[in-house]
Amino acid sequence: MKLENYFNLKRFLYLVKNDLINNYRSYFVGLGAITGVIVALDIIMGLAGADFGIPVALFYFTYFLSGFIISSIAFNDMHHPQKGISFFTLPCSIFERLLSKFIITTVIYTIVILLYFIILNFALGIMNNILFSAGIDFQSDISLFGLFSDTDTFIFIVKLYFIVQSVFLFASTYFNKNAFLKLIFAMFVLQLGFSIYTALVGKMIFVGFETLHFKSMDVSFNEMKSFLMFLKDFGFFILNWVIAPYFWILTFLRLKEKEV
Amino acid sequence: MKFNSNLAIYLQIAEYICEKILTKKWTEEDRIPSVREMAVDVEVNPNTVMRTYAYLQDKGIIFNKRGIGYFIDKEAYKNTLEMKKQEFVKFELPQLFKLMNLLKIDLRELEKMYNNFLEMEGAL
Amino acid sequence: MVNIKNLTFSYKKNLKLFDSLDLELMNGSVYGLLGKNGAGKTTLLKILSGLRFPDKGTCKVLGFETKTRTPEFLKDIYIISEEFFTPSVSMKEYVDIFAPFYPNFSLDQLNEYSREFELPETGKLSALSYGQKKKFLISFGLATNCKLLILDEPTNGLDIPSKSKLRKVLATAVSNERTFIISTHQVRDIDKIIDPIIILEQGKVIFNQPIENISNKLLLKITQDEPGEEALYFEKGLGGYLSVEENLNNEPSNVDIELLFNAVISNQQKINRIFNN
Repeated sequence: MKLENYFNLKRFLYLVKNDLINNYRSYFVGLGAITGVIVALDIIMGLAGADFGIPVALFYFTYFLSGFIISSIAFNDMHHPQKGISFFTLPCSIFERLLSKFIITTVIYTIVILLYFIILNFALGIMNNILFSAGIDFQSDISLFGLFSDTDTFIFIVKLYFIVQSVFLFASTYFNKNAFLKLIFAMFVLQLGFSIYTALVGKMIFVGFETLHFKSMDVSFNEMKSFLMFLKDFGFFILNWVIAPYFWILTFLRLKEKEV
Repeated sequence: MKFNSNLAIYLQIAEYICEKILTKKWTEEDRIPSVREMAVDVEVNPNTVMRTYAYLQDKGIIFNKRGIGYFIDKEAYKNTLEMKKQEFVKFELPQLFKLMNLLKIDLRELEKMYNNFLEMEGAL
Repeated sequence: MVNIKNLTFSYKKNLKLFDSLDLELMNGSVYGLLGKNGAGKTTLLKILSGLRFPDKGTCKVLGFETKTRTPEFLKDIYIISEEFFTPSVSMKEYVDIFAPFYPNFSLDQLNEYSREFELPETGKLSALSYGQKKKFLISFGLATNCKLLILDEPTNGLDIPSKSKLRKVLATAVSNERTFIISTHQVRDIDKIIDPIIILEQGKVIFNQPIENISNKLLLKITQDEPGEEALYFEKGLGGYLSVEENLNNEPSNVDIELLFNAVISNQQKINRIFNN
């Protein structure tokens, strides 16, 4: 087994270039749509007499939404009978195919959208000055530039993006069409199921609490608390370090097994 | 090139070359197209042309200069004529006789027609 | 070059498309893959290029198991399917973003083939007609200098002059290091180019012979009278009967591939017996 068969930097960079050039149209359409919505919002706010600019919350919202959408269409080609042929016969490894889409929908996407929002924000500032003789309050924490004063939140958001994004990336290899909607629906169903389950379990325990005597359970409150703390840590550990790798591996296997 | 007869393709290509030789378009020591050139020219698999060339080499019509290509043999004209004559006697003549018999054409009549033909050719 | 052993494949359970199929292909030939509709030609080509995986058995190309889809293997194959997709980039961009994956790619060759096909020198790939796109992809595939080039119905959608150009281009590109597999129903378009002939029928390769062998072993001829016992197969044609019989007197005849195909399909056992003698 040669390393060459799994990863070759030059080939990988060519693949990223190939991916970007093949799809740049849809990326531009997406950016165009984002621009349209934000400019429209800005004008409405301006007419209402408010200084607007781009609030940092809107940036985070867009970052997630558009990121999840492009991730969920990242592997569309592999489901297409003709594009699939060219996707799977292009001489590069499965790992490189995955890594290329991953880098594009995470690192490259994050940098591009951030830069784009900064530029857009400046442009809006100039536009607001001309239209409404009002600028953007760069000092405000809720403005886009709030993210530079609160880097902890920014890092947390990016981390969260990477984790949740892995699920969308997997969904795009798993679902044939409309992966985004299907995944949202699947998540909704799962969430619903989980809620019902916890509600039922909670009710059972709660009902139990009323009828059982604490002493006979022989569990001290402190032990219970430390167990709950452990559960919480365990949950965070899973969220931080297990979910994303788990879905990356699933995506890899899906790419490896998919037939056209 | 149009392929039409029921003859194997490699032989049809051989006939094409023989015709060039008999009409003196290609003469001794001339270099003939390479296997690939000929294959592209007549739109066939190069293997087929290879077979043609091997066949003609065998008949002493062309020869191979290693690394340079195929050339018309010194004896090519004579050998081609001889080969074609044999083929004519073996395949075409019986057909002709059969038809002559069928159409009741006797040799004298044929001779007259043949002379006419030669005159026409000469006039051209 | 290609080595398929004991290949079993099915799209649906209990409906085997291939049942212990064996096939061995040598370097330096233009194989013609023939078969009736639904015989599995396209599927076989897909298995050869790692797009479909065998249920059982192995499919090796250049020593690589095709289902592993390693870059080392993929750089040496190129497939042009009957229906294909071309991204909306210019021809030059296409070369820029795809050629680097093929270490033996030759721009000179691409230009030479494109010129032969009379393709425009610049312009969007998506603006070309189906036939022109196909000619571009064929030129590109040949210019990758891959060891195995797979063409599924290459003459489909090509105009009359282009078919002749295709024959010329293929004749130019054949070399001892490369193998072409051409699957086709329009066999008359390329019958002087394909050699050997492979016939796929009922899940197996029932015939795989070079033209030279075929013309040595079989006599394909036109007769006036209805052929008798000696004919392995015959059909009524213009000006008599087209018949296939054993070539006992060593007469080299022209191999009419459509006639051969019909003969092999209708009289497999006898024909195979002749070739195995």
